[in-house]
This record gives sequence, C-alpha cells and structure tokens, in this order.
Amino acid sequence: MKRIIYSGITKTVLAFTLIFCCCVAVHYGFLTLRAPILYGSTDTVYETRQYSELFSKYVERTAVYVRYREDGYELSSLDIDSELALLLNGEVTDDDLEGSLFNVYEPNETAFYYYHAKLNEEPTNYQYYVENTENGKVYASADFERYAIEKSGSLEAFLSSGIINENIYIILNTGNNRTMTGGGNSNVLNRSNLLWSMDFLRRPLSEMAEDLHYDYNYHISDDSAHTNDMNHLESIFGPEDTPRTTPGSKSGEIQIEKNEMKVEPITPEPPNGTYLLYAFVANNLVADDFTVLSENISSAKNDFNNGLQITVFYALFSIFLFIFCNILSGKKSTEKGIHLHFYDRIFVEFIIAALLAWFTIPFFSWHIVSKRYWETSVTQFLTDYPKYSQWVPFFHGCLVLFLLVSGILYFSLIRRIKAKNILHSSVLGRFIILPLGKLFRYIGKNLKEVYHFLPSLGKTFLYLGGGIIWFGISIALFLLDLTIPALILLILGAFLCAIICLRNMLDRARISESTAQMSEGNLSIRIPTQSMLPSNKNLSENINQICNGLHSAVEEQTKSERMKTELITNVSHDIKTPLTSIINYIELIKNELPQEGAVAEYAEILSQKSWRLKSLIDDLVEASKAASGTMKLEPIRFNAVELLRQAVGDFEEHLTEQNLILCMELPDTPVNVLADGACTHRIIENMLSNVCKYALSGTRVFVSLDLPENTGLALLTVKNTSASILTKTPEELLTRFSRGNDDRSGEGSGLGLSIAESLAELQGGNFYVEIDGDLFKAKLTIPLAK
Amino acid sequence: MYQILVCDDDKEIVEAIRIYLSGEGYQVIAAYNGREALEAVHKETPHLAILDIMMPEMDGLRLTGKLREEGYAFPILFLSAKTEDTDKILGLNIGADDYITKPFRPLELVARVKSALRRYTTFGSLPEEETAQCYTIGGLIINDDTKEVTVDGEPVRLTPTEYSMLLLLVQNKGKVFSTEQIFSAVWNEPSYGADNIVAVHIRHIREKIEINPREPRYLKVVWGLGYKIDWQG
Repeated sequence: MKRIIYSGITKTVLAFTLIFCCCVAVHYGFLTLRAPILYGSTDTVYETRQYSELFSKYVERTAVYVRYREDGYELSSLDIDSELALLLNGEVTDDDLEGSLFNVYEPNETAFYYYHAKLNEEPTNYQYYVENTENGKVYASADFERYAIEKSGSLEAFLSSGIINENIYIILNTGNNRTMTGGGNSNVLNRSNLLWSMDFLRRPLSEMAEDLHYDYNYHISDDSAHTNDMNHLESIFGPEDTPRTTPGSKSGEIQIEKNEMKVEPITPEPPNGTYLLYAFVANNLVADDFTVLSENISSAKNDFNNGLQITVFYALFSIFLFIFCNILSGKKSTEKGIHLHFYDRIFVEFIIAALLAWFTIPFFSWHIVSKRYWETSVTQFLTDYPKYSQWVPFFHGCLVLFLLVSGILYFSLIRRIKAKNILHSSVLGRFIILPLGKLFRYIGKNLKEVYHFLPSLGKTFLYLGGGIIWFGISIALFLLDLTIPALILLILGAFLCAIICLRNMLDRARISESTAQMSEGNLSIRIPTQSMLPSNKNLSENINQICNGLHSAVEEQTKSERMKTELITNVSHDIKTPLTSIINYIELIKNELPQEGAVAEYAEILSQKSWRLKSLIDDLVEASKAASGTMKLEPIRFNAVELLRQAVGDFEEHLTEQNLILCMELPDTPVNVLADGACTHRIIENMLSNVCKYALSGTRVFVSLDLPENTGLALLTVKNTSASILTKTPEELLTRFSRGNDDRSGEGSGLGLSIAESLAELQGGNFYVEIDGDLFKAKLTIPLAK
Repeated sequence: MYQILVCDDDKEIVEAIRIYLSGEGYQVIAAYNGREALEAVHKETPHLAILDIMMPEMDGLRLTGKLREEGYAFPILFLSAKTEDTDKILGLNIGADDYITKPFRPLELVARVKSALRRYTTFGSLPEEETAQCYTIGGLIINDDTKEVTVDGEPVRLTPTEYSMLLLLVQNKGKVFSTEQIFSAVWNEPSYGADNIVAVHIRHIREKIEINPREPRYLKVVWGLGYKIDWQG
C-alpha cells in the first residue's frame, strides 16, 4: 500500500490532478467573480452602473440635440456627410466622433447631424420626449407616442404616470430644476449629473459657448465620465478646475427625488422657456447598445450562479489535494526519511527568490499584454471578457505552467523543512545561523571549562588582576601628570612580564625536550625542576613521577625476564652434571656388556635417551634466551645465498638419509642481508631439521630465496610434504613444545620452530608457517642490508 | 706413562674419567676441588689437567690463572656444564687449551686429551722437518711436497679435491673464502649451479680432521661469508 502511494506515478498523477483542479477553480472563480466585481450585487440589469451610465449619456445627448433644434438647426438629410454615414454603419465608435470630430460647445452642423442620427435611429430602445412648455414644441423619438399609447392608452397618461412603470426612466424639469429618476443606479442618476443636461436644455448655444467654464464645472464633477471625454476637455480648456458658482442660478431649492416608485405626479407649472424631458429605455425592442450591455450583464450573472458551486467544490478539492501532496512530498517507499532531489540542495534563498519572481510574472505579463495588445484596463477586460474567448486556452496554458513551476519550487521547500535540512541548504542558515550556533556552543563549552578549572586558574587570574592594577596605576599616574613615576612603573612591569614569559618558555622547552627523550624510551631521564615556575614545576614533577613508575615497571619486567632465563640456565647446569654421570656410566656399562643381547639393547636405549635429554635442555635454554631477548646478536652484512648453501650442505646427508630430494631456487646474485650469521644459521638449521623429521620420505623439498619488492626483506621459503596429516593450525605449530604429531616419542623437542620464530623477530625479521593440505611451508624474512 | 690431573667436585665423574683414561694407559691424579688440584700439581708432575670450572674452594678459571702464573705450561682442558660461547672464550683466553662441555662423549674426551698431549709433547720437534712446502696450524700439518696431511701426528686421508680445498685455506690462514671463491679456485671454472658442493666437501674434510665436526677447531665456518682455517688456541 505504501509502495503504491509513495510511487512516482501516484505522485505525478496527484500533482497533475491538483494542477487541473486549481485551473478549474481559477477559471470558474474568475467567471464567478466577474459579475460581482463589475456589476456589484445589484438585482437588476438597470441598477448596474454601466447601464445607468449609458442611459445618462443618451439623456445628455438628447439635451444637446434638443438645444440644437431649439437654436434653429434643422435637419437636411442631404447634408449628412460621409463620416456620419460611416458612424451610422458602425465603423467608427461614438466616442471617437464625440471626441475628435466636433466640440459640443461650438455649435456646428456635424455635431447636430451626429446627435440627430444617434437619437433617431429606428427602431431604438431609448425613447425620449422633450416639450418646450413655452411654445409647446415637442421633440420625441419616432416610436414614443405609439409606445405610450400602447402602454397607457394615451400620451398624457403615459407621461403623467405610466412612465414610472418603465425599468429605467428620467424626468427633468428645467423650470424648477427638479428631477425624477427610477430603476437606475442612484450613484449615476443623481442631480449633479443631470444638471449639465438641464443647463444645456435651458440656455441657448451661443451663451454656452461664451461661458464655457459654467458647464465644465458640472461636467468634470461626474467621475463616471468617459476617459476620452475627459482628455478631450482637458486638451481644449486646460487644467483649470476652479468651481464656479452658477451666475444667477435659480437652483436655490433643488429637490431630488430618486428611486421613488410612487410619486406624486409632477404638476408642471413651468415658466416660459422651460423644458420637460422624459426618457426611458424600452425593453428589447431592438438590438442596440442597451441590449448588448444587458446581455453581457446577464451572462455574467449566469456565470456567477452556475460557477459558484463548481468553484467552491474545486477549490476545496484543491486544498485537500494540496494538503495531501504536502504530506506525501519527499516520501519514498524505498527510503527511510525524506528523499531530497538534486535541486533540493540549491540554496533556499534562490528558490524563494525564484518563487517570488515567478509570482510576479502573471502581473507583469498581464500588464504588458493588456497595455500593448488590448489597450484595456482590467475592468474593461472583465466587461468585455466574452470577446477574448479565443485566448482562454492560452490563459489556461499559462496557468498550468505557472502552477507547475511554483509547485516544484514550493515542494522543494517543503521537503527541506521535513528533512530538517532547511538551515543547511540556505545561505542564511549555513553561513550565518549554524556558524553562530557553533560559535555560541564553543564559547559555552570554553566558559564551562574555565569554570571547572577556576580553582587551579586562580593564580593566573591573580597575576592577570595584578597586572591590570599595575597598568591601571601607571595610567592613573600619567593622568595625574606624574610622568616619570608612571614610566618607571611601566618599564618595571614590562620587565617583570618579559622575565615571567621567558621563564615560562624556558620551562616549556625543558619539559618538551625531556619528554621527547622519555617517549623515545629513555626512562632514566628526569625533568630538571629546580627554579621552575610553580605551575610548571608541578607539571614536571607529575611527569617525573609517571616516568619513575614506568621506569621501575620496565626494570621489574626485564629483571624478571632475566631471572627466568637465569633460572633456566642454572637448572640446566644442575641437570647436566648428573646427566654427565649417567651418560658416562651407561657408556661404561655398554663397554662391560657383550655386544648382543637384551641388556645391551636397553643400555643403548638409555644412552640415546640421555643424549636426547641433553638436547632438550639445550633447546630449552636457547628458547628461553631467544624469547627473553637476553641473547646478544651481532648483526653483520652477509650473503644469504652463501649462508643457505653452507647450511644446506651440512644437511645434505640427513636429507639423503630420509630419501628426500632437495630442490634449490636461489638467485644468481648475492643477496646481502643484515643479520647475525650464527643466529640466522640456527633458524635455517631448525627449519631443515624440521624437514628431516617430518617430511614424507621420497618427496621433494623446495628451498627458495626471493626478494619481494618494496619490503626491504629477503624471503626464504622451505616447502615440504608432511609425512603425517597436519591437524594443527600454524599458530599452534609455533607454540612451544608443539609438534606435528602428538606422540612425544619422536626426536623433536617441539621447540625448534618456536626458537626460530623468536630468533627471527630478534633480528628484525619474521618467521611463520603456512599449511596447504599436506604442503608445509616455513617462511623466514631477513632484513636486507642497505 | 703420562700423568693426567682430573679435577671435578662430582666424584663419580672423576671416577668415570679415570676409568676411561686408565683404559688408554694414562695415570690419573684425582682432585675434588681447586685447592686439592693445586696441591696435587705442586706434589706431582701432571702432563695434562682436566678441570671443572664450577668447583668449591677455588674454581677452574682461577686455578688455571694461578697455574699459568706459576709457569706450568702443560695443557689444560676445561670440562664444564656451561655451554655459552662467552664461557668458552673466557676459558680459552685464560690459558686453557680446550673446552669440553658436559655431558661429553667419553671417546671425544679421550681424543681431545690425546690430541692435546701429542701437541704438547711433540711441540718443538716438528719445525726441523718443515720445508718450504709444509704448513702447520695447531696439530694440523700439511706437507705439500708429499701431499700428506696429519692431525696431531695421525695421518688423514683426503681426496684430491678435499686436499686442494684444505690447502687453499691453509695457505691463506685466517682468510675467509666464500664458496664461490673456493669453487673457482679448486675447479678452475666459475661457479654456477655449484649450490652446496663446496659445503658438502667442507663437511667431509671436517669429519676427517676434526675430533667433533660440530665444534670444529680448525676448519671454521663464518656464516653467510664463507670458510676459513684457524686455530682456536
């Protein structure tokens, strides 16, 4: 189970599922959030700011248009120039025209045509009705009357009460500056926004042109004005924006009644030259700006309603997966602990920097893309989102890439935290925090040690304190202008310091020289402790004490070794004296007896065994001497090949007697070794006599001398086939009184190989035995002469 | 009839030696410590003395020193259980003619006694016979004219090879010859594969001229270097 969960495939699948869920959540989240961000939480389309703005723009246009008509402009369809035709074909936007073609304040025909065309499109959802109460002139959209009659039965009834049933409407009365709106966004459709329109209705164009600032005041107070308009106005009138009070304003008692569903009918008692403006948006009569906007809004609302659940679901699922990924991250079924990838060793700071840089990419890229290619703001993008639908896969791709890379970086950090490696793999940790920790620990340890040795360091501190006080007094004397005593004191102090330092150095030198000799084995040396500093004296005496102990121990050891050897030698003398008698009298008995007969045989056996006893004693003494090292060796430079020939020559007959065939492999050139000749001969003799005793009759005996490279040793090997089965290990064979066969009746004393080993070691070589089945190899190394 | 002083604190050993030497026709004066031996020398006129080293009253070394001080020139043989080389060298240096270790083979003892007596008694008469081609080392005499070799007056039979090897060594008394040198000198050709031929011949020579080939008095081996002829006395 663990193996499956921790496997790479599971992790990959999990990661991509997480990315997928995140993408879905972000996608739907974006769609969901679009509506509330853009349009707020309004219930109807008309209450959105955008819709109301559009409506109020049309109202302004109406006002301008009516003003033109009042000022005597008349429509002549023949004069519509080509640019307007373009406009009406929808190839040039409204804003372009209003911004660049004409200035509303300078009466001109283009403007008039434009407004005329805009307001008298047929059919249209925007309906207006403007009445000059002075002369009874009426300007209304073509369908207004028909629509009014359709709704309320008569035009009058619609104007006085029916209009308020419309989704969004406006009634302006320039006579008393009263306005009435319904259904729209109250932030947009308020008095100050509408004052501009009323002014335009009220005053002739010539007057408006003369007193531009009058209007400007109202105009810029509206923050919802289009950017392009603003730019245009600024470029014409300059940046002055000092508010001006309306000259001769009749707006003393302005009443604002908004969003009133039930209103007292306006009883217009207009003075001469007052206008009544009625405007509303009829629903879905035709596809125009209003319809498009309304559709956009409702689709956004739809997205919100549909997307919310999906968003929440996928967001929660993503969070769940994310937590799961955090748990799984770094785990492997094959490994205990946390598995770190190669990039988990990159310094954490780099990873964090990369992560931060990577996070800024969406913002920058949005900034660049939106400014350069779409020239649009976020709000605009959100509004027009459906227009960019072909870009959606691209956005998704970017999102996946973004999530993938940030995920890799993020989980790298998580793994380090889990593996407790974060400090080690960060610049801050490795080069600052950890070294600091080490430093503190080091200081702590040292302080502890100082505390521990405080009693013995007391004197040092005393000296130190004394020195500081001395120095302090000198400084004080200086400050008191007593220069000469201060100088004397300082020089004295320096002298004292120098003397102490010098003494200390001398003591150290003595100690180190003596201890060096001691370590080389000269245990009779002692550190001269007279006239030492107290602390060094203490140290030296301790070392001397140790050396004394060691010296006596070594003495004891060598003494006991010597005593042992002496004992054995003396015992051997004492045994040999009676043995001499035994041997001599056995000889005498043998002489007295006839040559044949059982008694003669017995005498012969006695004779043989007594001689064997003699050789046993000799061997014992020699073994003891060799092992205790009391044997004195005189190493000389000689030719090992020569020695080998001499030794083998002595043994030739013994070997022939045993029917052994000797094969020698000796180098042609002399092999100069540095050893004691007699001693080496004794070893070789023992080796060869061992061969004579234990080799299988009729077999070959191999004697070879080699020079193994880089050892500085000559290697002598004697190989023979054992007569009896070799049951002992080489180590056992080299112990004293050990023999190849365990019956003790044979000639050997069991000391030969042991003696050989001891002697070989005495002269700086080595003797060892190897057993390979029946093949017995005795090897001797002798140090080569330089 | 030679008189031989035998001194050992072990009476049985003295008795055994007496039996052997009497068998050879020598008269034995027995002593059991150094003082007795000294008194015996003063009283009698021994031609040879066999002394133990470790004895009560006066040990063999001091006794020998005293005897040589007093001008006695007869051969002295040490008989000791001390087998160390140092002991032997000390004994010979102090004025002894031979050193026999306990336990000894009776025949060897007799042979050494004979050898020492012969050297002592014939000393001084030999140079008259000596010609330019005669070499004397201790009791070993080689007459290159007659190709005769005698040890303590006893003729020794050597093969031609053995003879020329011995002659080479005797002509260069004290000089150490390696086996290769001996080989090329004797066989007149460089030695390859000579191996241990020389060593075997040396061994044969030793068996013929030495009383105890394992403790040679004339033909000595210098381990690792070669062989030489030398007289220990």
